[in-house]
Amino acid sequence: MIYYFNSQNGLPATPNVDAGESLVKQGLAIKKEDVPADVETWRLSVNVETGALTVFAEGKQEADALIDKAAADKALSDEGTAKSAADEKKERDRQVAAGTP
Amino acid sequence: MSNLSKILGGSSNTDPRKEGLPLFGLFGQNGDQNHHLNYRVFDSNFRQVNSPWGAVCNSTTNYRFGMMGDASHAYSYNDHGTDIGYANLTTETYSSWTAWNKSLYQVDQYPHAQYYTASRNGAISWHSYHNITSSFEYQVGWTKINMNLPEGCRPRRIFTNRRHSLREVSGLQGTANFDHYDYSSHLIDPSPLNYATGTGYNEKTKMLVMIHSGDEGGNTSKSIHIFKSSKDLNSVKRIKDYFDNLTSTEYFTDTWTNQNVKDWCVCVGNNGWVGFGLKQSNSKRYCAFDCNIKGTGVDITGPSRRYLDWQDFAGGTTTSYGASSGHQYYTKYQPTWDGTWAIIYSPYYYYGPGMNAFAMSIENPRKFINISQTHTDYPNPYMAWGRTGFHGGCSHNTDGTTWRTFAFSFDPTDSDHTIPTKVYMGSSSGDSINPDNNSHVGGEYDNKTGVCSLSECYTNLTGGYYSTCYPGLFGINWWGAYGAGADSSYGGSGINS
Repeated sequence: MIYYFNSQNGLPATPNVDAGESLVKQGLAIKKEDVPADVETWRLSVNVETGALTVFAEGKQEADALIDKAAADKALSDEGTAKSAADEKKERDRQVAAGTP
Repeated sequence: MSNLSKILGGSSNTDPRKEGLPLFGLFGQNGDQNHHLNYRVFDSNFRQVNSPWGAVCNSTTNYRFGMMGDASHAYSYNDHGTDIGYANLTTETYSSWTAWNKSLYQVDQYPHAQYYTASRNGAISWHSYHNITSSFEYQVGWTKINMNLPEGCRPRRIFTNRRHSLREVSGLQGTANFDHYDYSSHLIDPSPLNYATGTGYNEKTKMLVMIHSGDEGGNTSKSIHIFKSSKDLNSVKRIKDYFDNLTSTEYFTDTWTNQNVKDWCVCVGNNGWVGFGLKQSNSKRYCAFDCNIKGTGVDITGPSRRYLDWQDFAGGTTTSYGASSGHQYYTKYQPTWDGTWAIIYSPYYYYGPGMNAFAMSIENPRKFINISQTHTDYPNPYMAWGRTGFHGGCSHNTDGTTWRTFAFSFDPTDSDHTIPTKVYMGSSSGDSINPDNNSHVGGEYDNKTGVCSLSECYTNLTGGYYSTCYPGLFGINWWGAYGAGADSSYGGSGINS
């Protein structure tokens, strides 16, 4: 299946050939011809540097892909929470060491 | 009031509803609500304009807004949990409405937002958890009229249309109707349908266009009535006055595919053409019809008035939900500040992120393109920005980078549907915004099928917290008075003018 991806962020832009070719001419899209038709577009992205197509949770059905996304999102959120806590502890420790809590 | 305005040097010619260019709020916090909180208001040039008191706390007495007087968030912060900071709307079910502060559904053309209220000085307050699912917006917000108003005006009166009744209401409240009028006697379709399911009004032409359907579900039968009056609906003391002064009434019938009739949006153009659009399954549909006066009994079928044919959304689509999954998820309508362009829009992805939109010229709704943003996480609503644009759509982590938004703008003088539409867009660096060449920054898109795929614009704004932070973008109730004087920077010029 042909699909066109945003040339700045690699996200899906359009499956419409007329619209996609117009974007390519303006440097606003990357054309890919080997896009699998049996996955939802939210799982598709293109590396704007290499042009490589990525299918999130490749080989899995939609329901399982959503479970993978939930896990990935939670991991990212947990990572952010942990980093915030670590950053705050680091700042507190710095202030204590500097004598300016 | 007018005398006071004259004494103070105000112009009696300025519409009292007219506001300066749009403002927006930006909310940032750390994860546990217990230390750092930041809420600021910016103008369309991203200059901070709120009062300084609403900045930062670093104390266990904060608990989000405990110190700021928001009772729903004092101490135990139960009502909306921790979702403001971390809801990414990727995997929450569509009934997880407490997580919807950053949803695309949050903001439309009306100054009130679905789950909070926020002043231009920086006072923000979330609606009470307790009755939100029985609130006006949650249940019948889809009955609000899509308003095309003069430059700088947002709807300050709220008219709703359901069955054969127009009412004036007080927005999110369950308080008494201000007014009610049964317009059944003015319907001229000999077999009128009973359910009003989409209404648009153009104040310049005083044209009111209603869709009636066979039910409030997925019935495809349509009866469209086109009213013109010598009285402006937004100026009458009673709704009846508008109908008592009708100068023209026409109708046509048609059969329109719709997953749910609550999704219909109606853009009544200045030239008498009217754009009808809605979310349809994972996609969207849009078509413009000639609603200019044709004469009694003339052109009473849809195809006789139609511009070409219905257009399916041409951008990327995936599983996403609209009114068929809950009436509060109805398709939204929002014009630009200057009232020259508008978008009919809904999320790209499941529960709120991304955007699928048709953008149309209000001067001539036959001129329209597709707007596509295919994010699947960390959303924010879109809102009017600058003179003729919108921005929003991104709450990604600002740890180590600045806050990003998707900003795009149109040419307010461009209403010719026979030529491509030029869209101005931002980018990720100053050198690409102001390049070392004479190229247009953005794109040009064929009418009807052209797809504008949005890209992130990097701002210079911190997210509001120095470590992990997912900033929330908030609509503002009142953008500020238009014109000279204390608010001279919001006078409407300076951006794309």
